[in-house]
Amino acid sequence: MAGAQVVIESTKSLCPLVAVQPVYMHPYSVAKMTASLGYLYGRRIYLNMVAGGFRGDLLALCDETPNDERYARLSEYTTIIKEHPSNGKRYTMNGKYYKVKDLSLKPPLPEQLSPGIFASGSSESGMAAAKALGAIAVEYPKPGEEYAASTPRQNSGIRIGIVTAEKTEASWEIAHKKFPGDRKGQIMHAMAMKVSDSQWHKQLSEIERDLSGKSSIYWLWPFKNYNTFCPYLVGSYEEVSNELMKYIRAGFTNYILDIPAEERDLQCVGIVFRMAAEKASA
Amino acid sequence: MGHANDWPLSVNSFSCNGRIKLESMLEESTKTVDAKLPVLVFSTAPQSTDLEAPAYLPRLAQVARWSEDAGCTGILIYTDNSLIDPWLGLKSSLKAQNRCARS
Repeated sequence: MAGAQVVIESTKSLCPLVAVQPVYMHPYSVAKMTASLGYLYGRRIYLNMVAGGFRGDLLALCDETPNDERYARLSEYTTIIKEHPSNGKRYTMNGKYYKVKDLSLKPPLPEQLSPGIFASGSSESGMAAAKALGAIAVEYPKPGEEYAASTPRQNSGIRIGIVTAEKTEASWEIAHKKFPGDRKGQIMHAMAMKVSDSQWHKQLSEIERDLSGKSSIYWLWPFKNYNTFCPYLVGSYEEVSNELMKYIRAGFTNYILDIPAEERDLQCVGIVFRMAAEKASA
Repeated sequence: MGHANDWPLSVNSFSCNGRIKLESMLEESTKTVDAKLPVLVFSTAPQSTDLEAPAYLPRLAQVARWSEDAGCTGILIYTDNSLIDPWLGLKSSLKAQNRCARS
């Protein structure tokens, strides 16, 4: 037993958000897996559509598709998954990357269990693909104030880590203990920067240079040490909820957090999201 | 298992408790856990590369329960060349089928 099924069988309502890399399996397999889990458990599945991932992973599979074209391929791939459960009829696609003819999905999924779709919105081509698919476009966010003057996002989300406590000092103590810094990680980060063709990697690195030496609730130290790929928010409940409020007001309605180290991490996150939601609606 | 065209019946007979059970399952799986929040929050599952094999699945189950208790809607399960497959679960499927067969 692994992955999605452990999540389903260990909880009453938690939905697996399964990362899907098109080079690993045919879209029909993904649709079938989603429908099968819905049939067996009555649980909705969310899909996180990955266009890129690690460049080395793709090259090892002899996939040298350029970045922009990977999004075009991802669009066709995701369309096959989306079209099936939504209508339960036979489906034909004569695409550039995928062709299916009179394909039907059994068992069909009821509308309530149609998969929720996430896709990267960090690049223009990714954002365009996400919009065309009606997917939730996920970004690696900039500091909250940078969205103050921008058009509110729709159907969007961010990938963020959070370390928070009642007091500022305590939150930073936890953060530094969790991510003490690692020379080897810093070298790996530098190497990844050289080979990555992902827009978000470049964007975060530019922010990292801008913030260098400044004290900020927005923290890229774990990214810089190759501990994780998302920015962190570190601070008191008050500080972090203020920052989250800016993202909520900017229209981001979906939040994918980093891996929790202990239960406390998620309990504290619940506190700051409730505070942020109250502030955003005030 | 039932035929695909009679999906609700198939699930009801699988779940062993009739239509009420199915409706309850659908409600549980599609609701926003904390309805007061204008946002959906997802956590992320631990990675198999960070744990010894026997420890991985218990840890995943533990983090999933923490996530649910904290009000998360879902949990992200990564995939890349170095990680275990995020989908498969033969043992679990068989266990579920056995439950159905006994009913």
